[in-house]
Amino acid sequence: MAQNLAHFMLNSDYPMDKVVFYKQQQISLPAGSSAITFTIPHSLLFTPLPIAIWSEDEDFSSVYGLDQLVMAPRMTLVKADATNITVSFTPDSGTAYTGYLRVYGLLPANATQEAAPTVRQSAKLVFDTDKIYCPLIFSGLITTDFNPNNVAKVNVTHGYKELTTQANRVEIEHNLGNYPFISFWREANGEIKAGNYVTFQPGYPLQYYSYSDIDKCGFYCGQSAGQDKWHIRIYANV
Amino acid sequence: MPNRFTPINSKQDTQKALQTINNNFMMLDAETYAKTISNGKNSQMVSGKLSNGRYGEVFYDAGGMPRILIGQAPGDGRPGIWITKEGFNVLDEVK
Repeated sequence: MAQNLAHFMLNSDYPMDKVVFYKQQQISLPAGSSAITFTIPHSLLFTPLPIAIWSEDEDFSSVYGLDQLVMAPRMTLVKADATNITVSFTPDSGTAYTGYLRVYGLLPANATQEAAPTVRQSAKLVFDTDKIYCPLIFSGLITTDFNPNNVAKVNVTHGYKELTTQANRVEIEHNLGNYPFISFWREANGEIKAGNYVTFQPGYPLQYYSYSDIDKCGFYCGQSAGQDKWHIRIYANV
Repeated sequence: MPNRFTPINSKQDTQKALQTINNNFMMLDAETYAKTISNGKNSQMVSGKLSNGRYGEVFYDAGGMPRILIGQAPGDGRPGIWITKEGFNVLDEVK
């Protein structure tokens, strides 16, 4: 009988994300129309999977994600290369904002180098079971070939097998019976870019966004052609 | 004695005293397999050989529900750490 992951706060049968970089800093977002970019050196021996959130409140009582709102300012780009994590904003045209930016770097599945411990950079409690730790049911780096004749599945139930994908979409069969959360990053030209989770935004063509169903999940890859590398994380619904 | 061993009464006859000594040794022997810590009402933790035949440490919540297992999984003995949410018996949930 399979274990019901929704009954667990922590289950070491499944790995969890390893945060190899963390930084919080205050940011100024002056009014205007030009993109504002923050470059944060990560000092790692590999390119991490970047995640960023920002808030107007220092205690992060409100939080905005990547390209989350149909409003300004918007965080429009989160990417990492061998040296830096870069976060870009589109400011509000008429109002200046002061915000707080938190940047995380996750250990990619294919990284083999060591990373300095991050526990002293972040929370007081390294391991706190008052919080639920999302079990990773899939973590990997896949290569897609956007040939329209290809149909892709990564079958989680039967050994995390990578298959091919249909045009502009990576789809993963999980057969969990509930809705997992999928996160993804595109790796190209020495950079790893966080996926875009916008579901609907008038006036902005969607390029990357994820979806989840009870037997499969995946993401749309926009207008990409040829071969691409994708870092994928799927978290069980807890 | 604060724990479970039975003290020997100085006025007991030899046969009764030996029986008490043997009972105490039996309890001590059992604890080389599993040690149960109780608050006097409910088990608080068990360490050693568990009722499912595997080895580990189990911690209970205030209501007497086993919630944390550190040790071997019931099914195949793989080592791990499992913590269930309130209301779920970790020994039943880990397969």
